[in-house]
Amino acid sequence: MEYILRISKLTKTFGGLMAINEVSTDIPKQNIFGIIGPNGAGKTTLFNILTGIYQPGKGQVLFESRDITGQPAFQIASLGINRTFQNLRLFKKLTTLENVMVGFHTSTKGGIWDYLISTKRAKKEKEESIINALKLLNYVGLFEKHETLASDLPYGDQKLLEIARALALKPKVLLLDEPSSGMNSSETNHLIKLIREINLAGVTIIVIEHNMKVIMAISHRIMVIDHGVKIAEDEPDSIKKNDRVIEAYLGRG
Amino acid sequence: MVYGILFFMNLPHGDVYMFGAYTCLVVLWIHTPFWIALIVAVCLTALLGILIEKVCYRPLRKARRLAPLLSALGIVLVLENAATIIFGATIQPFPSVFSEGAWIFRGVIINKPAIFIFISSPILMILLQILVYRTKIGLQMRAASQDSRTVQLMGVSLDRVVSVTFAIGSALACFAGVQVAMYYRATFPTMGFPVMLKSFAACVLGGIGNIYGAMLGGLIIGLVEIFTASYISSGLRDGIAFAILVGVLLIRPTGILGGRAEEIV
Amino acid sequence: MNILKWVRRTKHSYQILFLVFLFLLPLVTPSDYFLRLVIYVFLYLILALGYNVVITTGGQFHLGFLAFYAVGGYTSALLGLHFNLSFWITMPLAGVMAVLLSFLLGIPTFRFRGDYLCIVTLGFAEIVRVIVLNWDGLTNGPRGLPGIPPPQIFSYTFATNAPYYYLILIMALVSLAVVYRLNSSRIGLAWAALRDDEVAANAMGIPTTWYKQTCCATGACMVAFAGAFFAHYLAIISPASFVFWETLMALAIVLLSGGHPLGMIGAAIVIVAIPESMRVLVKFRMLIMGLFFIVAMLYKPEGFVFGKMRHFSPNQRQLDQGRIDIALEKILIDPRIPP
Repeated sequence: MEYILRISKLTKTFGGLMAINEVSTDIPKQNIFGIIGPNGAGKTTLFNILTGIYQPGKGQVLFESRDITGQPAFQIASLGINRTFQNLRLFKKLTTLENVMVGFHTSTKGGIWDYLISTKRAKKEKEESIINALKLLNYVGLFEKHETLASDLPYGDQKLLEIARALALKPKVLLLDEPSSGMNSSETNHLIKLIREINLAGVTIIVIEHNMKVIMAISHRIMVIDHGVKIAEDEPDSIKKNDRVIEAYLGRG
Repeated sequence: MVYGILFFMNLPHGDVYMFGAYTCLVVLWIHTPFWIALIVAVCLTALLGILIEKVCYRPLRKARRLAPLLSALGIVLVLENAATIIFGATIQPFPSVFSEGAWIFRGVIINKPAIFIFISSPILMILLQILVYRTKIGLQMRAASQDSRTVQLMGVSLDRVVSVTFAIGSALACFAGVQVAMYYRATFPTMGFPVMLKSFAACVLGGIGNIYGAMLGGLIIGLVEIFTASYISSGLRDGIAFAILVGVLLIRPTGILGGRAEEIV
Repeated sequence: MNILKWVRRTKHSYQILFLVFLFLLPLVTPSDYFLRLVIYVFLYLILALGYNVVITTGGQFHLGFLAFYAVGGYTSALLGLHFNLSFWITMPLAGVMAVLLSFLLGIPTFRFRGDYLCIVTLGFAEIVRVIVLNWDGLTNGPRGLPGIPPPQIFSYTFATNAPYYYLILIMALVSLAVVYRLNSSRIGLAWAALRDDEVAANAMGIPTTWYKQTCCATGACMVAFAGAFFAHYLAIISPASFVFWETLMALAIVLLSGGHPLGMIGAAIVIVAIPESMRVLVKFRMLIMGLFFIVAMLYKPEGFVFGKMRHFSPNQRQLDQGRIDIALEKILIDPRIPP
C-alpha cells in the first residue's frame, strides 16, 4: 500500500491550549480520507499544519517520503498539497476567472521582464492559463460566470470556485475543509459527484465534514478527532457503530 | 482612540490641535480670563471634531478604506489654509497667561506655564483613564474598538460612540495646543502637522488601540526627542521619534503594551 | 475628407490622434508656462503610477514612498555632479539605488500588516529625510545641490522646456505601458491576490513576502526615475522639495482616480491645474483644493473610475476553447492545449 501522506505524532499548542495532541495517521494514495469530530476538535488546525500555515510544535509530516514538516505554506502548495478554506478565502476583488488563474501561478515561470516585453513564453503562458482556467470553470459549472466578481457570486458557487481554484494547482493531495457547509441538498449531491470524479482523476482527497451523509457516502476511511486527540480511525461503517465516536458527538448518558 | 475603533488615521487631528490653540488665542484677545478662554476653546474644538466626523467621515464609513483619507487630506488643507488666511502665515504671539516669575530648581528654570502643564497633564490622563475604564460610555468605546459590528447588535449606537470619541480626542488636542502655545508663547498655522505625525508614532509605539500605550508612547517620544536635541544633535530631533518607533516595532511588533492581535485563519 | 474616413475606420484612431497631438504640443502650445505645467502633470502622473502599483495593485499602504523619490533625485544629482556621468546613465542608476533601498527597507517592514505598515513606512521615510537633511558631507544638507547638469544627447544639451517635455512624455507613456503589461500578467495577478487575502495567496503557492518586495521595488523604481528627472529639470535639489506633502499629493491622485491608470491622468491634471489656475486667488487655492477633495469623496467615494479594471478578460477565441468539455485528468495532468 503506497502512502502519500504520513503524519506522525503531530502536536500543536496555542498558549495553554493543546489544539492537536500527538495525532498520527497514514493516508493511502488516491484515497478519500474523511476527518470528523465535534466543533473545536482541532480539525482545521490539522489542515493548517499540513499546509504550512502553522508550524507544529512536535511531530513530522512526510509527503511522498519527503519530510515537509515546517515548510512555509507557499512551498507546500507548489509541491502538490492544496486546500480550500472553511470560511472561504476567495480573492474578493478579482473575477471568478482571475481567482482560478491565480492557481496557475505555480505552473508558470515568466518573470517581470518576460511580461514587460511580452516574450513568446509570456504570451504562451498567458494563453494557456486563460484557457485552462476556463476549462476548469466549465468543469465545475461556473463557466457562464467567469466575468463576475468573486464577491458577487452566490454562496454555493463561491464554494465551488474555491475548489476550482485549488484544482488549478494540479494537486496530488486536495484538502477540503467543510466543503458542503451552507449547501442545500441538490448542491450537496453535485459536490459528492464532483469529489468522486476528482478522486477518480488521481487526486488523494482529505475532507473535513460535519455532514454525515456526505462523509459516509464518499470516504474510504474516516478518522475521528476530539479535543485534539485521535479517538478512532476505520471504515465508515465501523465508525458509525464506534462507541467512543458516538459518545464524543452526543455526550454521555 | 479613533484609530482603535475606526481603523482610521485621523490626519486633521493636528489641525484640530492648532484650531484649539487659535481659538483660545482669539478669546484671549477680547480680554477674557484664561480659564474661561480655555473652556470655550475646548468646547468649540470638541464641536469641531464632532462636525468633521459627521460631515466628512460618517457618510464614507461604508466606502473603501482609503476614501476617508482623501477627505481627511481635504480637511487638513482647508483648516491650515483658513488659518493662514485669517491669521497670516507667520507666528502669532500668544499672550502671557500667568504672572511673570519662575522658580529656579538646581539650575533649571521652571516657569509658571511649565507648572501648569506638569499639573494639568497627569490630571487629564487620569480623567481619561477614568472615563475609558470606569464609565459606561468608556466601556462602549472599548467594546467598539474590538468589534464594531457586534457592538451595534448589543444596542450600542456606534454613531454616538464615534462622536464622543472624536469629541474627547479633539478636546484633548485643544488642551495640548493651548499648553504648547502658552509655553512657547506662539501659534502658527502649520504647528499641527508634525505633531500629528509624532502622535501617531506615539500611538503605535504603545500599541494600537491601547490608551495606556498611547500615554506611554507619548512620554517616551517626548523625552527622547528632548534628550536627543540637547545631547546629540538638534537636527536629528525629528527623525528620532520614528527611529525609536521602528526599533521598538522590530522587537515587539504589536507595540510596547500590545495592541491588535493577529488574525485567526 | 480622407482623414475623417480613416478616423472612423481605424481602431483606436482617437487614441492615435491624441498621441500625435501630444507630440506636437510644444509647437502649438500657447506659452512656455503652459508647457511647464504639462511637464508637471506628467511628472505627477509617473509618481502616482508608481505609487499606485504599491497601493492599489499590491494593497500595501506604504506611506513612505517619498523616500524613493528623494533617493532617485539625489542619486542622479550626485552622480552627475561628482562623476560627471551622463543623465542617461545616472537615471537608471537612480532606479537601481531605489530598488536596493526598497529591498533593504522591505526586510523588516513587510512583517507588518496594513495598520502598522503605514506607520513603519512613514517612519522610514522620515528617517531618510532627516538623514538627507543632516548629512552635509554628502547632500549638502538643507542648502541642497545646485547646478545639476542638464541631460545631453550627443552634443545637444537640453536647454528649453521642449526637450524635457518630450522626455517626460516618453517616460509617462512607457510607465503607462509598464503598468498595463504588469497588471495583465501573472505578476500583477499575484500582487492583487496577496492584496486581497495574503493567507490564501500563500496557499496558492505565491511567496508573498518576496512578491511584496517586488511590488514595492517596481513602484520605487518608477518613482526614482521621476525623481531623477525632477532633479535635472530644476537643476537644483534640496530637502525642501521632499516633504510629506508630496506623498499626500501623489496619494490624492491615486485616490481620486480609484486606482485606474487612465483616471490618474485626469487626477494629475486636477492636482496641478487647480492650484495653478487660481494663481489669482493666491491665498485661497489650496483651500479650494481641500474643499474639492472633501466634496469629491462625498459624491464619489470610489474615485472617478473609468470602467472596471480587469486583469484578464478572455476573448471569444479563448472562450470557445474553454467551453469544450474535457476530462478532468487532462486538465490536471497535461497542461498543454490540444492543437
